[in-house]
Amino acid sequence: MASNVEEFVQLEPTVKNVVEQTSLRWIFVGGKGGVGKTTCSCSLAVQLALVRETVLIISTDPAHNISDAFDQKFSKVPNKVKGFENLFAMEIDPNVGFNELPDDYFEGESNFWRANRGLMQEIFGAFPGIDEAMSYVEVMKLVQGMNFSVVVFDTAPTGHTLRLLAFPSVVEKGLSKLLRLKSQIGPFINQISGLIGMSSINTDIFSNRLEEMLPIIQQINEQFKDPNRTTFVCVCIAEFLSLYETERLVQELSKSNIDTHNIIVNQLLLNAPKTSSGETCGLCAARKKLQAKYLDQIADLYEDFHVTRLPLLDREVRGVEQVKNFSENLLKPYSSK
Amino acid sequence: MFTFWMVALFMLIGSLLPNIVKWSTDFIFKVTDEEKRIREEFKELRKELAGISAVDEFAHYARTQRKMNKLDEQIQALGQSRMDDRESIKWKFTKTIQIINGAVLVYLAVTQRYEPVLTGLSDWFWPLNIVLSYPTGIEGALSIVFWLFICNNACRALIK
Repeated sequence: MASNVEEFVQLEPTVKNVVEQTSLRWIFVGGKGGVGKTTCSCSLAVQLALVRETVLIISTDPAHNISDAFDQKFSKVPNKVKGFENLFAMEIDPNVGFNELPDDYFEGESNFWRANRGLMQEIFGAFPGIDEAMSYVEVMKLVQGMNFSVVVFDTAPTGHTLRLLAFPSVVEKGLSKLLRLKSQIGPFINQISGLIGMSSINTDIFSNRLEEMLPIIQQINEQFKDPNRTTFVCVCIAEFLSLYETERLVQELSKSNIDTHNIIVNQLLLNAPKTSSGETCGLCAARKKLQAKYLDQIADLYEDFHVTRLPLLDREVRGVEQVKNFSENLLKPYSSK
Repeated sequence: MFTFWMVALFMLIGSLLPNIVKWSTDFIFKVTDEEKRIREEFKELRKELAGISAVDEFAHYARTQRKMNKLDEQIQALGQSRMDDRESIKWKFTKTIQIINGAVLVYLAVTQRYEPVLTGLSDWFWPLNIVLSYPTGIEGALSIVFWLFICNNACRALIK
């Protein structure tokens, strides 16, 4: 068969590939601020809910946009989204530290811990990121325990996302070292505290938690690097800086061996509107031209990605109905009629 | 006189050892041709990148940047492996020479402890000459033990 080198098969411009890949368990949706991540992640979750058994959408963005998008208050535990049977949503603030955890979290532990919570908080504060990391792990434990078929992460717009994704491998190394240290130093500390006469500090509680975390972290690490289980969907807009950031994101993801093969370009002026006098809006036409330039660049650079185009509408996408309607565009290229 | 020069020589080698090792390993572990080629390519790409407008030709810019990143990774990997090999050889070489050196000096010190390294010092170093000739018992002699001591300090001072 003659191989036609010139023939260029463009990948389907929808996220159908994500929705149809039933082995996927973790889907991250990310991109630098203001591009429409939450709208896209909610839309994606809605489409997934049509084909998968149970879907959970988690937001790690402290700004809590999912509540705005679905017009419903969500909390730190999964709640069903009104209007759906199998779609759940959850908002976690990764900055919630030890001192904000409810009292019953410390039930069963020695008074030493409770009384010194402030001190513990400071100690944790000394290790940047560990606070965030530990609550992140607690979330993962919870989520894994609940067995959702697929989890969509609406990630925070800062660099935290990449850090958190790369986190499992870093922590795996760090934790195993910490645990080795613990087994060496632990008995020593216990002896000293006995000598001084303090009630035993019980380092075991802390180290038990660490030991519990390690296998979960290892599991997470493995799953995130498996392209059959995890994928990252990049959302951007057709402007230079967003494009630049998207390229950076894609490179970082490849370096961390996390699969990504979908890009959503949002807020596109797909049909230049006409003014009341029948003329085409000049500003919109100019913007459309500008966007077209970047769209070409995207098509050129990301030829092995699915590039989905989403329209800029004349109203905000808020509320379950609007999200449902908007989500159709993820599977069917938009055309206003 | 033999002992005199032997001790001096070995002490000198011991003190100069780091420099000798560095110089010889530099010579052995030169930058390979492949690494040179990759570095040249990287420089070319960097020049190319400077000429591309990111705003107008983002795809071209990004592709060039990607190539550069790959080359950079290769350079780092090659450099790192070369560095690792070199450090390990350096360490082994240094330790070997130090052990041999030490062994020879100890041997000399022990076998030659009653032999004077130099004689005729009574007039110059009084009252130290009694101490300096300690193990030998010969008046006006410089024993090997103190000669070692003197050489050691002299070499250290020389290196600085």
